[in-house]
Amino acid sequence: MKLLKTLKRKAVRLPLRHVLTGLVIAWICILIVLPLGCIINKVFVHGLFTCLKGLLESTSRYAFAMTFWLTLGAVVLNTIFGLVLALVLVRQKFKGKLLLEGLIDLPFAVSPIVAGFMFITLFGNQGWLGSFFDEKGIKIIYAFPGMMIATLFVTFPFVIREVVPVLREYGVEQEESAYVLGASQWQTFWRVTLPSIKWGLFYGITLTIARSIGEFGAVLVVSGAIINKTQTATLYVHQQFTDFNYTGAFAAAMVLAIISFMILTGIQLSQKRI
Amino acid sequence: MGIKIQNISKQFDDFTAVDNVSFDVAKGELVALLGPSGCGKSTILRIISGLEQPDKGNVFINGKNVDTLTPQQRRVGFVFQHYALFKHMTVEKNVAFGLEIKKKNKKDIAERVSELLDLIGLTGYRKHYPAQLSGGQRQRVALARALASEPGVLLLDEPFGALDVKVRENLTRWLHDKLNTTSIFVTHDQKEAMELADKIVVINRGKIEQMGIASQVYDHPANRFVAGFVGNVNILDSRCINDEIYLKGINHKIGTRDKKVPAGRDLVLFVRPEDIVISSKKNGKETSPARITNINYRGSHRELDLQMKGLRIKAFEYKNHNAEYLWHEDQTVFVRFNKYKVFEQNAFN
Repeated sequence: MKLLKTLKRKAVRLPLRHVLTGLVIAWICILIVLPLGCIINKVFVHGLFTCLKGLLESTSRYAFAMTFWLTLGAVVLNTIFGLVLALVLVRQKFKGKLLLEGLIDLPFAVSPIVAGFMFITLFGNQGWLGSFFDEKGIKIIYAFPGMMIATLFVTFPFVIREVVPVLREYGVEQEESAYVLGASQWQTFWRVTLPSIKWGLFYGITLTIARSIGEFGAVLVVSGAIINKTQTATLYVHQQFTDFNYTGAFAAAMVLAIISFMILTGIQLSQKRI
Repeated sequence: MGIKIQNISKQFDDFTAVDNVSFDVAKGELVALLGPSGCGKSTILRIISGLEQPDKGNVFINGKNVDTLTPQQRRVGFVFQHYALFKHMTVEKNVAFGLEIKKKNKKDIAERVSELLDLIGLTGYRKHYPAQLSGGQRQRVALARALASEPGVLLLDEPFGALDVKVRENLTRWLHDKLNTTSIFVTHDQKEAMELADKIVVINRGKIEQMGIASQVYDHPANRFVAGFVGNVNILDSRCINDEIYLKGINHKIGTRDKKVPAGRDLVLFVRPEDIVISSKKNGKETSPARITNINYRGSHRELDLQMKGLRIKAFEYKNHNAEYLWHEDQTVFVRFNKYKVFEQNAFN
């Protein structure tokens, strides 16, 4: 007991720790809590009922549905391709692997607006691939396919970046034991590999969802933000705001903020398990 | 017929991991592959299991050529160095894995798992996860998992390396007494190999240096490598003059030349610490004076550091018939090599 007390007394105390703690709290308040509170407050100032009514309007419903489908598409495709790519990057040896690894991070480095323009030049009427699809009568730019591609681009690295380190640390021995015990590669993937990396994958997926919902720049450029056609939730907030329809803007923004908050909780949960 | 390996070779880029290795393991036999790390012993194990493809050679398991079979089809049990238990599964699920893959019926699986958990003494740990077990317990689970689907042969990669002495002794006894499968285990620990194996295969740089029962390998090492690697040994420069063997720098004769040793050449002499006889009086020509510089207590015996002119030699002293030790530090004694082995200096091995 005595030893325990001396140990406790000796715990290192940062000088000025109250000041520092206060600073951190103030900083987080200014950057995160105040803006969030402001939005929620605005919604109530404008009247919760009016706001909800605004959200149920067809334009707003359409925009949220658009965001939902884009997010779903990004999650499904990025999960499949992200897993395949992560497995290839960790397990296979081939020339140009380093270059490929570098390219995976490109969407982090490129500004979404620039990404949007890249896709316009590629898939636009005069673009390399755009003219091909144009002949077949498939519209990519200013339509859902283009928005899907833009969303995929900006969310592409998340699953890979989260799964690769987990996969690397986990090694191949468990998979090899499964093989020796008679499990096929497919059985091994489902029963051994996937359960072992599921929290890393879950984290990657949560980040993908957050990014898809929040994406603005790249989607703005490729979609043209046509109301009831190519308008997503974030584009809707922007449009309402520029139209001086603050009630609509704040209501939609609040819904987006709440979703973000829920995702944040998911991230916290998965990080604890990794 | 248990396992037969014929002329196996394996190259990794420009590193030869296994170089034309052949050996047999009889049914029910426990064989140790003994060698320093990186000598290719684990690669041999992986080749037998099918996890690695040899560049050349054939593998037979229970009389059947398995060269074209996948690891899934070979019916081998494999215990990995770090056990490789499925971390997200309970002990019970780990052991049942192989049986579930083979789609055995639920009742049979449950019975077999209970039987194995009972055998390894972990019945109370059914629902535990690997992270909740100690090293020895994990090791036993890995064994039970490998044994669950009754493999034709059992392969163990450094299975006792990470365990403390007591646990290791229990497990090795268990493996030896309760198990009757044809098994090969890989180790870098010569003590472990001698305690456990029916036969030892000593491997160095991908090649077999010697094969035989423990006493053959220990008492009659085939070459310099085996003499130096297996057991404690003093390695001394020596020379053969007129059919007599001398240590370099010392005029006393150690012994006479045996037919295999070429005359007039530089030699290396290997003598084990327990083969050095110490007496207080000089008797016979082959006894050299030495001073005891240091004595270390080792429990069952004492380890003496001897200074013989410029040479430092280690010798073991065991208690005499009155259960006492005779020598003390700084004493001058006479030393005779009861048993030793010489090899040519320049021979590669």
